[in-house]
Amino acid sequence: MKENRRGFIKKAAGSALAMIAAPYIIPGTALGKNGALAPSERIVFGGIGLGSQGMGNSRGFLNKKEIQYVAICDVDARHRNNAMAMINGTYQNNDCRSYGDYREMLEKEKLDAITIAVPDHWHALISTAVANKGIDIYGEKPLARSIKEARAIVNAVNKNNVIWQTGSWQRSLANFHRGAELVINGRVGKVTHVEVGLPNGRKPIGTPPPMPLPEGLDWEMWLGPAPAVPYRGVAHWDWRWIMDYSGGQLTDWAGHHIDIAHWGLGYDKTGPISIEGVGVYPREGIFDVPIAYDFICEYKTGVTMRVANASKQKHGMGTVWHGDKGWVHVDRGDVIRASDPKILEEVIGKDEIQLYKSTDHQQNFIDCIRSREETITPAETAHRSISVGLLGEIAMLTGKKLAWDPEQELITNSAYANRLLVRPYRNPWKLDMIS
Amino acid sequence: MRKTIFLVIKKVRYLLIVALPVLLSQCDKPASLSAVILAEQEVVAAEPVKAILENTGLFDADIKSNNFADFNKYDLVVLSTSKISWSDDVKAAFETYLKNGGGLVILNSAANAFPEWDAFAAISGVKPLESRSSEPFEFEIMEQKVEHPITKGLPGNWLHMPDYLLFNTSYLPEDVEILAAAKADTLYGGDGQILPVLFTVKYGEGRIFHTTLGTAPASMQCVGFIATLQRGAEWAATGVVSQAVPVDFPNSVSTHEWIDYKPLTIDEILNKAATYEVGKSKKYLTDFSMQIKNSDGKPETYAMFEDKILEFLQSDATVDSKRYMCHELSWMGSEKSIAVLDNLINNKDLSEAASYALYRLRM
Repeated sequence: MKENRRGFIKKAAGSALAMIAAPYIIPGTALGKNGALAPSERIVFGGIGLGSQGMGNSRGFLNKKEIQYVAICDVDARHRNNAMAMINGTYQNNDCRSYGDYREMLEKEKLDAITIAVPDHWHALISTAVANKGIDIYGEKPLARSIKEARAIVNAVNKNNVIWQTGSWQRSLANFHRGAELVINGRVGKVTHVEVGLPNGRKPIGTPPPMPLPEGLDWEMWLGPAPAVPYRGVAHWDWRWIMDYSGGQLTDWAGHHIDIAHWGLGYDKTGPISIEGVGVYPREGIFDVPIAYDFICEYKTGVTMRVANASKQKHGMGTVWHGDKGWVHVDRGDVIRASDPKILEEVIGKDEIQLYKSTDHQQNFIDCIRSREETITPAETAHRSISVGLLGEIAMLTGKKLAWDPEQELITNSAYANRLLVRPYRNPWKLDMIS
Repeated sequence: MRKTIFLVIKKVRYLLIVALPVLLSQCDKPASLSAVILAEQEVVAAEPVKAILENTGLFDADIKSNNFADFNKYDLVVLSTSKISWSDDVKAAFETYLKNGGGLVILNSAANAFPEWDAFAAISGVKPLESRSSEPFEFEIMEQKVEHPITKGLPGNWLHMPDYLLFNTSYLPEDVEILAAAKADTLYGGDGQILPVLFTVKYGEGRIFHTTLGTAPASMQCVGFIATLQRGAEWAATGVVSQAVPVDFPNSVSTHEWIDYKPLTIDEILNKAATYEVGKSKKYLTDFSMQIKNSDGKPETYAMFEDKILEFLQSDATVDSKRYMCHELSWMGSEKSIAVLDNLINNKDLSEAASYALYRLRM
């Protein structure tokens, strides 16, 4: 078996060997920066997708002295230019290489890790291709646009033994960790019900006519496996309001507050057994994801979880676990509240469940690249979190109550609904499902 | 005669209302309710109201004008205009009708019919002020009371088609039960207040349903206006509502219209969907999907929809509408679709959409 760079880093970490091996293309100009590791020890990063989220992620990683970006890829020249300026500006050189097609980047570059932030309909193809190259991945939530694609990513990650970190960064914040740890250790008693409050969707914009492409945007590549449609002024960011690319706020946020709900329940490797609910869909316009959604999942333990717009939930945004002895609510903005303030003062004993602790989501990824340990949000966890959102979507689209087998990952009461576990790809794109 | 029979049923109903709702709904079926719509000399404006009531299958409606006073012949009186004047005798007959349990619907500007008649304020639940309203605009109706028979099962918030929002009245909160409200947006000449738009009033034994919606003629096609009027009329006449909420009731982001005050059939929806092109309105496509989503989901029901889609795919409908239908077929179709889709693979415009459907159908 070939020794890839990852394997090398693991062995070299903390070893004198690290000093004598420098086979990779790290620019000499980066040497000697304050506090930086020698270039040969840095983890070689690439970035795919450098729109708003991708730039945000890269900006964070650029602050880490242990890594160095050497290549970026985006289907929009404007994004590439922005990213090149930021990266080269950081390293004060002109060495970062730029690609418009991730396949070319994967072929030409030798990378240890790639940060991916692309529209959901591209997640599975790119993530599996990167994993199959043995490259570690920091990938955005939701894991994928469909449940089968998400499973394909998990399989590729596991088969190739690559490290995966999901952009579900709430797990690396103290309030979410604390809330989940209180709940999983029974401080609200036996959990009976969970409320997950997510944002409202965006109002429809009507039906814009086809229009000329902005200069530098490779529309064919932007669409990729999604159905061929003319450009109508909607691409970056606003793809999340169109079902061919996203499930809207529901799937955008499932990887946050549903993810946290699962964490406190200990359900990172399982899923609900039934899902039922209604969505409010626009009748008109190209934005076709639900504006409002409200569904209930039931788990085999009897726990129910209601996922709905925050405006419909008593406690609003965030995750609330209700147990027979009280409740705990966590949300962004360091929110942690409880039915009784004493719950929040509880100490978790050494013999109780200690949830994975990370205080820096990106650093956790870097640490795990070196240690080869699992990250705080591995692919399977992300898969189980988004599965809840995607099953909710299918229940709302079909208007039916679904029975779900979380072991087989099949809808057991509707052959029709099962078909919605996949989104067919346009030729010539094909996803390697890997079983 | 009919009225006499109905009165008997009505009395029995009060005894049965809690214990035997099933039996009650069976009693309702053969009985037809009678309504009179009081209009101006020009009765044309009242025709939509007549159609809306009669399309329930529950009402026979007459349109009358001026000094009509034979209220007791009817289960429901509808006041559809402010341009009406009654003699004291008619007013007295009207009050007696209501006090004895008559049903009344007051439509928008009819609230202004009798500014000098004190009892009418108690009947309508409002006191008319000088005549004012917003410009017509599309506004959101916010449900205030979900457990009332009239609004039970409606979406919490829904969009009403462009209409005048009337704020020429002051409300008598002690007498009215507000079912839904809307904001008189200052952008459209409103005063920024949240105004009741659907409410009920109790007057003696009489039940009164008051809707301020439907002033702009086109807004009477709004399914929200139609369905709440139909439900309000049935409630005013009988005290219960037996009608189902239409599947195409508007939601918080979409209005929905019934051009002839009744829903389109599935075939009519498909006919309209057949002209869809990218960049144009796709509402009839989504309407069709909604019919499937709201169906009972039985294989034979999906098979009925599938047959219609297969016929559609072989018709002269537009390429863009056929692409949409292929995506719909991909999840609710059956093996029956495969041959038709296989044929479309060689059609350069539809090949991709057919492949999409075939991928799922062959899973």
